[in-house]
Amino acid sequence: MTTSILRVLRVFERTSVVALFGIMLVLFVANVAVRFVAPGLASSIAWAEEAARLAMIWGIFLIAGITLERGRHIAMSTLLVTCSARVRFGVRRLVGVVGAAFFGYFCYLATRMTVFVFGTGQIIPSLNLSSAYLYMGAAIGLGLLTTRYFLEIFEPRDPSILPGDG
Amino acid sequence: MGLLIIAATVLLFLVGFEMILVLGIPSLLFMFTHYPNMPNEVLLQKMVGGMNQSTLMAIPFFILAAETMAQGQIASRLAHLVRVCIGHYRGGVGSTTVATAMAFGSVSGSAAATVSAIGRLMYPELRKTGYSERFSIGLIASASETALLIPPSITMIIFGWLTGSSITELFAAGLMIGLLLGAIFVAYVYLESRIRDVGRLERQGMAVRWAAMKDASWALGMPVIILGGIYSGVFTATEAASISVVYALFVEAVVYKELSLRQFAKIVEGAAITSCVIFLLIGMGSILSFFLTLFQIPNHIIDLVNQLDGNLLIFLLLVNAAFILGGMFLDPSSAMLILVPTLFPAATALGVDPVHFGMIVTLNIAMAMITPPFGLDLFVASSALNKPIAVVIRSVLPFIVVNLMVLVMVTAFPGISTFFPRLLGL
Repeated sequence: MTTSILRVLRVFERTSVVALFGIMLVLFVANVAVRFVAPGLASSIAWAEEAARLAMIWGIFLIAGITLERGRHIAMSTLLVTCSARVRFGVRRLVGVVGAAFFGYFCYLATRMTVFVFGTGQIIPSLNLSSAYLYMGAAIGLGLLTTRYFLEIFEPRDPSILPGDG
Repeated sequence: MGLLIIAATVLLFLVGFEMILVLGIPSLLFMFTHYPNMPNEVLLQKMVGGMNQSTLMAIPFFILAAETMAQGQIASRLAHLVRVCIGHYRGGVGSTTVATAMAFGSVSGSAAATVSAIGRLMYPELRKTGYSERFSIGLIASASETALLIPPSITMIIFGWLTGSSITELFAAGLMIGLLLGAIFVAYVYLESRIRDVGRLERQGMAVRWAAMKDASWALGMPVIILGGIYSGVFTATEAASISVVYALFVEAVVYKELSLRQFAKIVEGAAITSCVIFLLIGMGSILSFFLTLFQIPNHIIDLVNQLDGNLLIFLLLVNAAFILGGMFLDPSSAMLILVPTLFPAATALGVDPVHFGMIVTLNIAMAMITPPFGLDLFVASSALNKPIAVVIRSVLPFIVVNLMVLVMVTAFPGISTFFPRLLGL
């Protein structure tokens, strides 16, 4: 059950991130191109840079869970890999507990911020969009990261295996 | 209590917790223990605010361009061009390794990616032409450092964001320092080749060189876009980065026909993961740097520096020592995120040019990549060349001495860092 949910989750994360980074690139380049090709229209597409940055932030948060799953977040595991398998897995379980608690708390803060900013009606002026969307990306991404740390408590990753592309 | 938190942080680091936790947990504990009335949401605001910066958008773009080129033909065609042009001179293969690392660095900006790509390409050739195993490994790992100095450089983008310095100026200065470091590596290669009479390739005829030039002509457009676009004032660094992605995609997909849609998706995913690693560190570093400011650590450093009677050289030596020590144990981004906000205010108070300080920091960070025990490139070289880490560490030691020589020059003579940006009128 967990494996199937994770598989669906990964497809969602990977597809969303590729789409968001694609949007980021297209919008940013369009913004630059319009400045050269049709300078008169440059002010009307000024929102594109802000939108590209929003896509970047969402993309970066949405891939945070997969990044952890693949062992790509930087850690000084040189000492850990010299330990026995029992110690290695034990430490990774501990990392799972601490990571889940830490990012779970940050996810809670991000959710509160999202609700709060929605309530204030604060907007990103050039997009005429609520600033809460910035924190919503963080809330979802940190939630995904928390889930991966939580799963490590039960299925710890072996830090002696080098990060791969998965 | 503060000391207890620092001790706990060191323990988390040594045990192998991810650096995002090592940087984030002390901030959270400092807030609970020292600022219990502070609204907790400040932590998140600082994190997201640190990541949500226009300047930093250059990072995912440059990573995307680098991943596209590394998986396609651009990098290998540039390497081939360098090899057929200079491989026949004394020490030609060694010099080719350095020049290829610089060329690859000028389009990728990643030292680790350069070690991996150049290592597989040049190691067999270095060994075949008579260089020792240790010299070959040391040269590959060290020459790849130039990628951090020659624009585009992610390290410099982060430094520019942390200090508010002009990235264009930093890139201009980095180009000169990168060329200087490369030239000194080439001099070392020449010396080694002369003593041992090794390291030449057969001279290639004009037809082969011309063919290599034609093959690499599209690839050569990349540094022109990045460097020419930025220095002529046509693009900002972030704009040049975005255009370099489009150019790389166009060359690989349309000109070389080496890029499918599936590969493109894989490249984007890889770039997003690498960006995520850097950005979450930046987010956590932003929170930590907020607390460093609240604790007035930079002011304490300024007071300490004043006790040195404003002796600039001693201060810069201490900066180097701090970065070398930091680089021995921390990854480059974390070392910068902790040390730059702490030391930069003192540097400006003493009248150090921000670009000069930026070059000292970047050179230290570059050297940290090959500094035992935890230099990232040591492990990348060990994995890419399939050599034990102990052999890699022994191999890089003479090159660290070469690095230190360049570091002393750059530290002592600010003009080396500042003359080129001034020449360009930046």
